[in-house]
Amino acid sequence: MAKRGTALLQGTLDLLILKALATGELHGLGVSRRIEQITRGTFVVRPGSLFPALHRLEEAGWLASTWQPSENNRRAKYYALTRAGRKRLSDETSEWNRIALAMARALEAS
Amino acid sequence: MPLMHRVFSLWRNLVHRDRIDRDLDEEVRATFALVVDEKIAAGMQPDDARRVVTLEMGRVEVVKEQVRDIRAGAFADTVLKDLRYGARLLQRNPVFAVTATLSLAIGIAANTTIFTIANALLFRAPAGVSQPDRLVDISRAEEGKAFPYNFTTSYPYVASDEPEARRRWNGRSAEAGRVD
Repeated sequence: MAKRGTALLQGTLDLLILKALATGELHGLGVSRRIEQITRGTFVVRPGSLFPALHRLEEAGWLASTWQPSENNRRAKYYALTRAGRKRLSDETSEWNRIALAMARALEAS
Repeated sequence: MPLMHRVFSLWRNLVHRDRIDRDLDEEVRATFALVVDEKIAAGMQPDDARRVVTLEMGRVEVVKEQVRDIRAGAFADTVLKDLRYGARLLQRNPVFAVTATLSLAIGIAANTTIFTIANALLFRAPAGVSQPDRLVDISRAEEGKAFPYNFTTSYPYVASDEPEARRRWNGRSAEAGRVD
Protein backbone atom coordinates (compact mmCIF):
# COMPACT_ATOMS: atom_id res chain seq x y z
CA MET A 1 0.00 0.00 0.00
CA ALA A 2 1.90 2.96 -1.25
CA LYS A 3 1.18 6.06 0.70
CA ARG A 4 1.29 9.61 -0.21
CA GLY A 5 1.50 10.90 3.32
CA THR A 6 -0.30 8.47 5.54
CA ALA A 7 0.08 4.76 6.14
CA LEU A 8 -3.15 2.81 6.28
CA LEU A 9 -4.05 1.50 9.68
CA GLN A 10 -4.68 -2.22 10.00
CA GLY A 11 -8.23 -2.94 8.92
CA THR A 12 -8.71 0.46 7.32
CA LEU A 13 -8.28 -0.85 3.80
CA ASP A 14 -11.22 -3.26 4.11
CA LEU A 15 -13.48 -0.50 5.31
CA LEU A 16 -12.35 1.86 2.54
CA ILE A 17 -13.00 -0.79 -0.10
CA LEU A 18 -16.48 -1.49 1.25
CA LYS A 19 -17.19 2.22 1.33
CA ALA A 20 -15.85 2.74 -2.20
CA LEU A 21 -18.28 0.11 -3.46
CA ALA A 22 -21.27 1.47 -1.53
CA THR A 23 -22.35 3.63 -4.47
CA GLY A 24 -22.16 0.87 -7.06
CA GLU A 25 -19.97 -1.77 -8.65
CA LEU A 26 -16.42 -0.98 -9.78
CA HIS A 27 -13.45 -2.91 -11.15
CA GLY A 28 -10.20 -3.12 -9.20
CA LEU A 29 -8.70 0.02 -10.67
CA GLY A 30 -12.00 1.82 -10.15
CA VAL A 31 -11.96 0.88 -6.47
CA SER A 32 -8.44 2.18 -6.09
CA ARG A 33 -9.28 5.48 -7.83
CA ARG A 34 -12.47 5.87 -5.85
CA ILE A 35 -10.54 5.45 -2.61
CA GLU A 36 -8.04 8.04 -3.75
CA GLN A 37 -10.90 10.36 -4.58
CA ILE A 38 -12.94 9.97 -1.40
CA THR A 39 -9.86 10.31 0.82
CA ARG A 40 -8.76 13.28 -1.29
CA GLY A 41 -5.51 11.62 -2.20
CA THR A 42 -4.51 10.73 1.34
CA PHE A 43 -4.55 7.02 0.56
CA VAL A 44 -3.28 5.56 -2.68
CA VAL A 45 -3.80 1.81 -2.72
CA ARG A 46 -1.46 -0.10 -4.97
CA PRO A 47 -2.46 -3.35 -6.71
CA GLY A 48 -0.24 -5.37 -4.36
CA SER A 49 -2.54 -4.44 -1.48
CA LEU A 50 -5.75 -3.90 -3.40
CA PHE A 51 -6.15 -7.24 -5.15
CA PRO A 52 -5.38 -9.42 -2.12
CA ALA A 53 -7.90 -7.37 -0.14
CA LEU A 54 -10.57 -7.64 -2.84
CA HIS A 55 -10.14 -11.40 -3.04
CA ARG A 56 -10.16 -11.76 0.72
CA LEU A 57 -13.39 -9.76 1.01
CA GLU A 58 -14.92 -11.82 -1.79
CA GLU A 59 -13.96 -15.06 -0.05
CA ALA A 60 -15.55 -13.72 3.11
CA GLY A 61 -18.78 -13.20 1.19
CA TRP A 62 -18.87 -9.43 1.43
CA LEU A 63 -18.19 -8.83 -2.25
CA ALA A 64 -19.41 -10.56 -5.39
CA SER A 65 -17.65 -10.28 -8.73
CA THR A 66 -18.71 -10.48 -12.35
CA TRP A 67 -16.85 -10.10 -15.63
CA GLN A 68 -18.12 -7.21 -17.71
CA PRO A 69 -16.88 -5.13 -20.61
CA SER A 70 -14.99 -2.12 -19.32
CA GLU A 71 -14.74 1.41 -20.69
CA ASN A 72 -12.03 0.61 -23.26
CA ASN A 73 -13.66 -2.52 -24.70
CA ARG A 74 -11.66 -4.89 -22.54
CA ARG A 75 -13.14 -7.29 -20.05
CA ALA A 76 -12.78 -6.32 -16.42
CA LYS A 77 -13.81 -7.96 -13.19
CA TYR A 78 -16.36 -5.81 -11.41
CA TYR A 79 -16.94 -6.03 -7.69
CA ALA A 80 -20.18 -5.24 -5.90
CA LEU A 81 -21.26 -5.32 -2.26
CA THR A 82 -23.36 -8.29 -1.23
CA ARG A 83 -26.05 -7.93 1.40
CA ALA A 84 -23.60 -9.25 4.01
CA GLY A 85 -21.12 -6.69 2.70
CA ARG A 86 -23.56 -3.84 3.26
CA LYS A 87 -24.18 -4.99 6.78
CA ARG A 88 -20.45 -5.29 7.33
CA LEU A 89 -19.95 -1.74 6.05
CA SER A 90 -22.48 -0.32 8.47
CA ASP A 91 -21.10 -2.36 11.39
CA GLU A 92 -17.53 -1.36 10.67
CA THR A 93 -18.50 2.26 10.16
CA SER A 94 -20.05 2.54 13.61
CA GLU A 95 -17.11 0.67 15.12
CA TRP A 96 -14.72 3.03 13.39
CA ASN A 97 -16.61 6.11 14.59
CA ARG A 98 -16.57 4.77 18.13
CA ILE A 99 -12.80 4.27 18.02
CA ALA A 100 -12.14 7.60 16.32
CA LEU A 101 -14.19 9.42 18.94
CA ALA A 102 -12.42 7.64 21.79
CA MET A 103 -9.02 8.42 20.30
CA ALA A 104 -9.91 12.07 19.76
CA ARG A 105 -11.06 12.37 23.37
CA ALA A 106 -7.98 10.58 24.66
CA LEU A 107 -5.65 12.84 22.75
CA GLU A 108 -7.45 15.97 23.89
CA ALA A 109 -7.41 14.96 27.54
CA SER A 110 -5.18 17.08 29.73
CA MET B 1 -15.66 -14.09 8.88
CA PRO B 2 -18.63 -16.19 7.73
CA LEU B 3 -17.48 -19.76 7.95
CA MET B 4 -19.63 -21.15 5.14
CA HIS B 5 -18.08 -18.78 2.67
CA ARG B 6 -14.58 -19.65 3.76
CA VAL B 7 -15.27 -23.38 3.42
CA PHE B 8 -16.84 -22.84 0.02
CA SER B 9 -13.86 -20.73 -1.10
CA LEU B 10 -11.44 -23.35 0.17
CA TRP B 11 -13.23 -26.01 -1.84
CA ARG B 12 -13.32 -23.81 -4.93
CA ASN B 13 -9.65 -22.83 -4.62
CA LEU B 14 -8.46 -26.40 -4.26
CA VAL B 15 -10.70 -28.01 -6.89
CA HIS B 16 -10.78 -25.33 -9.58
CA ARG B 17 -7.28 -24.06 -9.05
CA ASP B 18 -6.44 -23.67 -12.74
CA ARG B 19 -9.59 -21.77 -13.56
CA ILE B 20 -9.18 -19.50 -10.51
CA ASP B 21 -5.60 -18.82 -11.53
CA ARG B 22 -6.51 -17.96 -15.10
CA ASP B 23 -9.20 -15.69 -13.75
CA LEU B 24 -6.73 -13.90 -11.50
CA ASP B 25 -4.20 -13.59 -14.31
CA GLU B 26 -6.79 -12.03 -16.59
CA GLU B 27 -8.01 -9.68 -13.88
CA VAL B 28 -4.59 -8.29 -13.02
CA ARG B 29 -3.46 -8.09 -16.65
CA ALA B 30 -6.67 -6.31 -17.65
CA THR B 31 -6.10 -3.76 -14.90
CA PHE B 32 -2.55 -3.10 -16.05
CA ALA B 33 -3.67 -2.89 -19.66
CA LEU B 34 -6.30 -0.35 -18.71
CA VAL B 35 -3.70 1.96 -17.18
CA VAL B 36 -1.29 1.40 -20.06
CA ASP B 37 -4.06 2.32 -22.52
CA GLU B 38 -4.71 5.51 -20.59
CA LYS B 39 -1.04 6.50 -20.70
CA ILE B 40 -0.87 5.79 -24.42
CA ALA B 41 -4.02 7.81 -24.99
CA ALA B 42 -2.32 10.61 -23.06
CA GLY B 43 0.46 10.56 -25.62
CA MET B 44 3.05 8.16 -24.17
CA GLN B 45 4.94 5.64 -26.28
CA PRO B 46 3.59 2.09 -25.69
CA ASP B 47 6.91 0.76 -24.36
CA ASP B 48 7.37 3.72 -22.04
CA ALA B 49 3.79 3.37 -20.87
CA ARG B 50 4.29 -0.29 -19.99
CA ARG B 51 7.51 0.48 -18.13
CA VAL B 52 5.97 3.33 -16.16
CA VAL B 53 2.95 1.26 -15.22
CA THR B 54 5.14 -1.61 -13.99
CA LEU B 55 7.11 0.85 -11.89
CA GLU B 56 3.93 2.37 -10.48
CA MET B 57 1.95 -0.78 -9.88
CA GLY B 58 4.50 -3.54 -9.39
CA ARG B 59 4.91 -6.64 -11.54
CA VAL B 60 1.88 -8.68 -12.55
CA GLU B 61 3.37 -11.92 -11.24
CA VAL B 62 4.17 -10.36 -7.87
CA VAL B 63 0.63 -9.03 -7.49
CA LYS B 64 -0.78 -12.45 -8.37
CA GLU B 65 1.46 -14.11 -5.82
CA GLN B 66 0.23 -11.66 -3.18
CA VAL B 67 -3.36 -12.60 -3.94
CA ARG B 68 -2.58 -16.32 -3.82
CA ASP B 69 -1.03 -15.86 -0.38
CA ILE B 70 -4.28 -14.70 1.21
CA ARG B 71 -6.61 -17.23 -0.40
CA ALA B 72 -8.35 -19.89 1.63
CA GLY B 73 -6.19 -22.98 1.38
CA ALA B 74 -3.01 -21.01 0.71
CA PHE B 75 -1.47 -23.00 3.53
CA ALA B 76 -2.39 -26.37 2.01
CA ASP B 77 -1.05 -25.09 -1.28
CA THR B 78 2.29 -24.19 0.29
CA VAL B 79 2.53 -27.56 2.01
CA LEU B 80 1.84 -29.36 -1.27
CA LYS B 81 4.49 -27.28 -3.03
CA ASP B 82 6.99 -28.05 -0.27
CA LEU B 83 6.23 -31.77 -0.49
CA ARG B 84 6.71 -31.76 -4.26
CA TYR B 85 9.94 -29.84 -3.89
CA GLY B 86 11.18 -32.30 -1.27
CA ALA B 87 10.31 -35.28 -3.45
CA ARG B 88 12.20 -33.74 -6.37
CA LEU B 89 15.27 -33.13 -4.23
CA LEU B 90 15.27 -36.71 -2.96
CA GLN B 91 14.91 -38.01 -6.50
CA ARG B 92 17.86 -36.00 -7.64
CA ASN B 93 20.06 -37.29 -4.82
CA PRO B 94 19.22 -40.97 -4.22
CA VAL B 95 22.23 -41.69 -1.98
CA PHE B 96 21.12 -39.02 0.42
CA ALA B 97 17.53 -40.27 0.17
CA VAL B 98 18.54 -43.82 1.07
CA THR B 99 20.79 -42.68 3.92
CA ALA B 100 18.09 -40.46 5.38
CA THR B 101 15.44 -43.18 5.06
CA LEU B 102 17.70 -45.78 6.68
CA SER B 103 18.62 -43.46 9.56
CA LEU B 104 14.96 -42.80 10.19
CA ALA B 105 14.09 -46.50 9.96
CA ILE B 106 16.82 -47.52 12.39
CA GLY B 107 15.92 -44.72 14.80
CA ILE B 108 12.23 -45.59 14.77
CA ALA B 109 12.92 -49.32 15.11
CA ALA B 110 15.24 -48.81 18.08
CA ASN B 111 12.76 -46.55 19.82
CA THR B 112 9.87 -48.92 19.22
CA THR B 113 11.83 -51.88 20.58
CA ILE B 114 12.98 -50.08 23.69
CA PHE B 115 9.55 -48.73 24.38
CA THR B 116 7.94 -52.13 23.93
CA ILE B 117 10.29 -53.62 26.50
CA ALA B 118 9.99 -50.73 28.92
CA ASN B 119 6.23 -50.75 28.54
CA ALA B 120 5.99 -54.46 29.39
CA LEU B 121 8.42 -54.25 32.33
CA LEU B 122 7.67 -50.91 33.91
CA PHE B 123 4.22 -49.66 33.01
CA ARG B 124 2.04 -52.80 32.80
CA ALA B 125 0.94 -54.91 35.71
CA PRO B 126 3.08 -58.04 36.02
CA ALA B 127 1.49 -61.12 34.51
CA GLY B 128 -0.88 -62.95 36.84
CA VAL B 129 -1.70 -59.99 39.09
CA SER B 130 -5.40 -59.30 39.02
CA GLN B 131 -5.38 -56.20 41.22
CA PRO B 132 -2.13 -54.36 40.64
CA ASP B 133 -3.26 -51.42 42.78
CA ARG B 134 -3.20 -53.69 45.83
CA LEU B 135 0.39 -54.78 45.43
CA VAL B 136 2.40 -53.97 48.50
CA ASP B 137 6.07 -53.37 48.91
CA ILE B 138 7.43 -54.95 52.03
CA SER B 139 10.80 -54.12 53.35
CA ARG B 140 12.52 -54.72 56.59
CA ALA B 141 12.58 -52.23 59.42
CA GLU B 142 14.36 -52.18 62.72
CA GLU B 143 12.93 -50.39 65.71
CA GLY B 144 10.45 -48.50 63.58
CA LYS B 145 13.13 -47.26 61.16
CA ALA B 146 13.31 -48.49 57.60
CA PHE B 147 16.30 -50.56 56.78
CA PRO B 148 18.93 -48.18 55.45
CA TYR B 149 19.16 -49.87 52.09
CA ASN B 150 16.28 -50.84 49.99
CA PHE B 151 16.64 -54.09 48.23
CA THR B 152 13.91 -55.30 45.98
CA THR B 153 13.36 -58.57 44.32
CA SER B 154 11.76 -59.54 41.07
CA TYR B 155 8.11 -60.45 40.95
CA PRO B 156 8.70 -63.94 39.55
CA TYR B 157 10.96 -64.59 42.53
CA VAL B 158 8.26 -63.68 45.03
CA ALA B 159 5.60 -65.46 43.08
CA SER B 160 7.51 -68.71 42.90
CA ASP B 161 9.63 -68.78 46.05
CA GLU B 162 7.55 -67.01 48.63
CA PRO B 163 4.20 -68.77 48.86
CA GLU B 164 4.48 -68.22 52.58
CA ALA B 165 4.57 -64.45 52.22
CA ARG B 166 1.63 -64.47 49.85
CA ARG B 167 -0.47 -66.46 52.25
CA ARG B 168 0.38 -64.20 55.10
CA TRP B 169 -0.80 -61.17 53.20
CA ASN B 170 -4.29 -62.49 52.96
CA GLY B 171 -4.02 -63.82 49.47
CA ARG B 172 -2.57 -60.60 48.10
CA SER B 173 0.23 -60.86 45.73
CA ALA B 174 3.35 -59.25 47.03
CA GLU B 175 6.50 -57.72 45.77
CA ALA B 176 8.84 -57.97 48.68
CA GLY B 177 12.28 -57.71 49.93
CA ARG B 178 13.18 -61.07 51.19
CA VAL B 179 12.15 -61.49 54.80
CA ASP B 180 14.43 -63.76 56.74
